Amino acid sequence: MQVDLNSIRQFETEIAQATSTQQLYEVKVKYLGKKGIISELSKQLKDVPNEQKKEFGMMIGELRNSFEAQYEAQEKKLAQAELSAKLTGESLDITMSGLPLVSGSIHPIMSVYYEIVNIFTSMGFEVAVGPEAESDQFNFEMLNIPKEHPARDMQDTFYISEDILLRTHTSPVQARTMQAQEPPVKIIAPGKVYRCDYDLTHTPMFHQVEGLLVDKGVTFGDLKGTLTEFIQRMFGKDIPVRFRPSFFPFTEPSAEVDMGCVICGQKGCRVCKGTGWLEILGCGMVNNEVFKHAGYDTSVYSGFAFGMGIERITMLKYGIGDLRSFFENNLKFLRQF
Amino acid sequence: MKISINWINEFVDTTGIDMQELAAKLTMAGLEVESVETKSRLENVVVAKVLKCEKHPDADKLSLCVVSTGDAEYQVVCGAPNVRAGQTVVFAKIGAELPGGFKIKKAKIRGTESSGMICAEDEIGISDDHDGIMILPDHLEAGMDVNDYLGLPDTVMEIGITPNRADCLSMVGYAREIAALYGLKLKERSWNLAETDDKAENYGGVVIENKEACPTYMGRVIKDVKIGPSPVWMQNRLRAVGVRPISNVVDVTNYVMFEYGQPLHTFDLREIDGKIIIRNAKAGEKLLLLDEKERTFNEEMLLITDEKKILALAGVMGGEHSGISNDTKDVFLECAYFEPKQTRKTARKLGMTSDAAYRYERGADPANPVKMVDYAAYLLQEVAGGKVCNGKLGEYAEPAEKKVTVDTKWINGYLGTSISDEQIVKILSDLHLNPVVNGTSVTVTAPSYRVDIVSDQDIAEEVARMYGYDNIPTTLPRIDADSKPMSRLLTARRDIGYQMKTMGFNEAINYSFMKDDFLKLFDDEAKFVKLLNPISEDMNTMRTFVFPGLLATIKYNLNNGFKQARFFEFASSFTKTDRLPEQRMKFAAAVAGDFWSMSWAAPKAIEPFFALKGVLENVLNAYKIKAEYVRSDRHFLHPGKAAEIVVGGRSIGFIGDFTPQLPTKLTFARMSCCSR
Repeated sequence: MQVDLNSIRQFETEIAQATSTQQLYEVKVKYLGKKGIISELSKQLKDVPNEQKKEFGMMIGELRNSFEAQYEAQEKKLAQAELSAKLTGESLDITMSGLPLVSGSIHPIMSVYYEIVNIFTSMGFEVAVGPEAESDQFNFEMLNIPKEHPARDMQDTFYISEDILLRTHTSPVQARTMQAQEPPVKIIAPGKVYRCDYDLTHTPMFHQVEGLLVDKGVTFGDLKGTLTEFIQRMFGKDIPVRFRPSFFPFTEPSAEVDMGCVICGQKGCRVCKGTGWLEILGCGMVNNEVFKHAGYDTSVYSGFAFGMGIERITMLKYGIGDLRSFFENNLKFLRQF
Repeated sequence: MKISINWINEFVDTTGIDMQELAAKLTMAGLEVESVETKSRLENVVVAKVLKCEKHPDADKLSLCVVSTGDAEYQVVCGAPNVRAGQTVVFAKIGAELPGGFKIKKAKIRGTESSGMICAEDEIGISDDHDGIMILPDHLEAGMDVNDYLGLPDTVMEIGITPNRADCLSMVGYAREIAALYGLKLKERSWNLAETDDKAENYGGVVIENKEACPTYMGRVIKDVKIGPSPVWMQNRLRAVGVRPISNVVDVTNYVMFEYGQPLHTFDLREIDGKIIIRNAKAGEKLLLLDEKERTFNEEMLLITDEKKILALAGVMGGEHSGISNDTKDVFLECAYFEPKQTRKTARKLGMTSDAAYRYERGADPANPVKMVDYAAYLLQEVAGGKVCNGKLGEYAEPAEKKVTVDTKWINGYLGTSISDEQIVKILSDLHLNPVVNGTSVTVTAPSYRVDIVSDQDIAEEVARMYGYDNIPTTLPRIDADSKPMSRLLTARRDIGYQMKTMGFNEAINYSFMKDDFLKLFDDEAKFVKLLNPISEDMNTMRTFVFPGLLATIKYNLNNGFKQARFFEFASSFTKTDRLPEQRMKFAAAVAGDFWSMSWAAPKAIEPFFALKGVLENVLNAYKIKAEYVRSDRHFLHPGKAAEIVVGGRSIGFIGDFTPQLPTKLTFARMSCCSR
């Protein structure tokens, strides 16, 4: 049996010269298809004398393997090239804008509100809320601010009826919480408050966060530590903090807390009125009169309370100059947050 | 209030103390110094006589003057309307530097040379008065230095005083604090009252009918006063603390009030018929007061009357008729203690304030009137030439001693300090709290002027503020680890907020109150909660819904040039009940204009109803809430483009376009809103 191996090995050239997977496939059909050149050789095997069968069979196998290997390599190469060509053809102008899924914004007061809540809850405080339209009893009486007390002058109150008002601070939540549970109490109470005052630096509605810790052995030092920790987490760990004696009817001793001016770095500027200090919150040890209203045993428990304005903290944090911009809801303003 | 260090020096010697340091110390002791004003010595400012005064040749409102300082004469252009020849004035020579850094130089004013300036009070920093030049008494010699005469130099501090520190509404109060802070000695004032043989009781008496409201009422009769200006040292001090000098008699009462915190009142003796009676008003009684307004009184108010008529509203203000006038000769001097609650109720009800009421409301020193009636009488004798009649009229009730016992161990435990017992006792002693020690127990007797000291906590405060809040160690409390997490409502509010932000909505915060007329477009007025004292009629009603605020917000932004807006808000709604209004947190979101921002890549325009419905379902899906949508018949909604959001058979809100029948200024193109 004579086989023209040279002519069969032509497939090597044909494979190498194929320029597309389609052309390559035609080569495959030509050699390995049903009537292909190599397939035909296999059909002839039955006519080969027995002593040559083994050698002939091995030759066909070797041709087949050789074809397959070269075919596969070439096919991979051509497919890759064809894919590249196709993808290049599909190129987009990647600089064009996408689907207009414009993000909205959280109101800056609420952002700061959540930030304050996060700091205090991480310390172990719970979040409590109470009604904004409140009774005189909870807003004043239970906080040691009886009628005719001069401290009522500090707060211009909106009234709904003689006994019902819009809470002037978040402190009534303290009174409600203490009425509802025994110590230990560890709450913060964020929310809206109202005062009858409307000018450049006052809006009739604003936001406060109140805090109250009552337990055995709570000290003024603990109050200092808790609020220093809070301010430094809010404004930076190097911010100086000072406590200054002050007066609130529901705490004794009371303090105003100042922090180093974040606008000028304590050099003195318009915002801190040249003092280098910014008043940031009020606090103190809970007045025993308040505990008596709640029925707490003052010989066993002590506690501290604090309150701060969220607007003020937000203004300092974001460098906002005009308080009233918070409630105008101008998109130009809101979209910055 | 303002304090003058020159004045305080009468009671404690502050020589050598740096004023900025003093201000810082006072602030850290609870008396917040809001400003420190240094009134420097004036150099090259002297007394001068106006020799000539003519109209400026080229200016209607200017005068051309020649002034003499004794050794020289100067030509000066002066703009003050009250300048006249013959006056004695304050003259700033060339080279003088006035407060505020204003330097006097040779100048040409409207073509005329001017060599110096005739000064007004504000220009030399002694008051805010700029009505005209300051006119001095003629006995002052030309060329004399003005500093001693004007009480310069001085330091004036403005102090923000908390309502508990009634004892610090006077110079003496600050002197006491400064003495305690610096360990200095307090100086006592003494006076020599020269009573005549004429007995005060010949001219009347005092009957106190309501001793609860007025336990002490002292009076003195001073005869033959000559009304005129008070001496300049008194005027200077009053001016320094912001009080305008009026006349010697009035100035004396103000002087004693600012020096000792004791309000006083003077009546013209000829206007008093018989005895002074302190009694409650009868409903409807009226009096024209010194502020020239007539007030009507009720039975809770306390009056000073005589046997025939009302003279004054006790502790608040005197009557116009019985006051001091230019021809007053004999004076009845009132020096009383009125109960704080009584004064406050009265002042509040009438909407009045006065320096006297301010002090009585906060708590004057109940022991003070006995001494102060004499001191004021002495001053009237000295500065108004009055003759003080023999004897005091009225009654004095000695205030009860206030003792508080406190344990030093408790103080340290409460503050978190370890202050030695000796130091605690020294602090209390420096504050004149008269500590008596018994082991670790200390009993203090608060002086009558310390009306704020009633409990052990008050003692802890005194120790803390004198020890220094800064010196108290900073510690962190132990908080039990069983804290409850934030409620589901608050968590949902926060999470939905961030979800809305992601979907392109801006969070709004509107005031909780709005105009009732506006709210009436959406809800029944019977449910409204109204404010008794709104800031304005535009903010007189608490909102029953949150969405109307968003309508206003959107309108505002469209008017400001925005073509589209997406807002949401969470807030309380308020509905009337018999007791506290029902208050529920509500959520509203609104879209105006196209939902998608203008972009080549925006999907095709979508009916806003469906845009917002997609947003709503996204929110509801996050909470696995399945809603059904049923056509809504709310009158303010578009009947074809609105639905009730029904969950579990109950409507939890609505979604839809507003009806175009709302007043035109409220309708926006394609606006949808969802609210619950």
